[in-house]
Amino acid sequence: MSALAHYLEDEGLATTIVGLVRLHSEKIKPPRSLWVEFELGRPLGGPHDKKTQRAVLESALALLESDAGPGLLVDYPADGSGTDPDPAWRNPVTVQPRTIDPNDIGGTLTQLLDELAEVEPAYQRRLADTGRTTFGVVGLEMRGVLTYLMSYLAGVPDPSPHPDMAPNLAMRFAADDLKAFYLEAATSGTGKPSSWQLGSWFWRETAAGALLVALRANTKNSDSKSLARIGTVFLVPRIWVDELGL
Amino acid sequence: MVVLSALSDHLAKVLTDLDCPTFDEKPWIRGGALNERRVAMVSSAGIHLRSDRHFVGSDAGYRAIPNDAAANDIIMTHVSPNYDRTAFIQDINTVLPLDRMAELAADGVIGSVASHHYSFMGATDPREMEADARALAGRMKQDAVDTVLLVPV
Repeated sequence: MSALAHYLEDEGLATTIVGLVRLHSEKIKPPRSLWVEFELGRPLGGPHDKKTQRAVLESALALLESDAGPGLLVDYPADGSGTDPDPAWRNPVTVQPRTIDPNDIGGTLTQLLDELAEVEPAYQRRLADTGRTTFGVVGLEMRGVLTYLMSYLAGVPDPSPHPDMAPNLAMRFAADDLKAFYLEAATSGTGKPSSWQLGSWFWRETAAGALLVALRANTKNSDSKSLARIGTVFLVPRIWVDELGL
Repeated sequence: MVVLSALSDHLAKVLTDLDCPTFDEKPWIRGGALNERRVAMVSSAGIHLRSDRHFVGSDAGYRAIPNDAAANDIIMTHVSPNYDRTAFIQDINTVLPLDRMAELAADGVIGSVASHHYSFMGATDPREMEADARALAGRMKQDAVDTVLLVPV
């Protein structure tokens, strides 16, 4: 983004950045940059934290009225917004322990559908409350997502659901949809769970998370370079690969 | 938080070793008063309208997002799983602060908000984005934009 700022400013537009990685701002030296100490993925701080979002924006925009540039780099006061776990948070979804068995595809799919029945009410409740979902990247309904992913676990991938989307790419998008569906369900209640709290639930407690871990194990040594790369890099976040000892 | 020492060793090394472009030229555009500026936002989150093309591979292009787009119409197809998405799924404003920018305009902090905002997919080498970024500048000017807020993830 710092490079984009260079290009846009060079074309005559004044730019200011909310920067997440200070080292990159130091190296690339965009015209104006506000460094925030927030987690990657949340440059404006935590969800629904209107006060912090506005404060960050006003701080970044204020740089436009400074004469101390180019290469102006200012640190936003650290406040840890949205990163600390919420000890009062209670996951509104309860799932039973289940096992993913690559040697029992039919039984595993049944287990996943049983878990979906436990998760879906919270997802639907949240959707009704907010009118918003980020689910729907691969274009399948949730049961289709599970069936498509299971075809990869079985080693006999179904055809891509879309003629213009390669099958392995569709598998990655299906995995993204699976995560989004579950995490939206888990955020249907009250409280402000951290990303770590939500990730701990998904990756440690759900069969859906175990499915993606199993898919990673199944595909990372595939003869298909595309599938091996997707399996190794894109299904399970690196922090959970490390945490789970995969 | 993104203090490199707080990240996993792997991610910290990736970010530390990232091949960052450097520039001899140091452009610096002085604008008018903030409350007279028209502001567009550019995200690197790989977000776009549901009806638009997904980001695939090292896509260096951008997608336009109308300022009045409903949050439910915006999805994310960024390639990387290694940043938090739980904030985005709960609140579009954590990545693309549409509501906050509207409030800043309504309160007279900025002059107005652009008719469209834009997203690239930040895992692509930004040097490959140069042509599209420069073309995007022309598109923004046609919308009378004079100021850009860039928001990476």
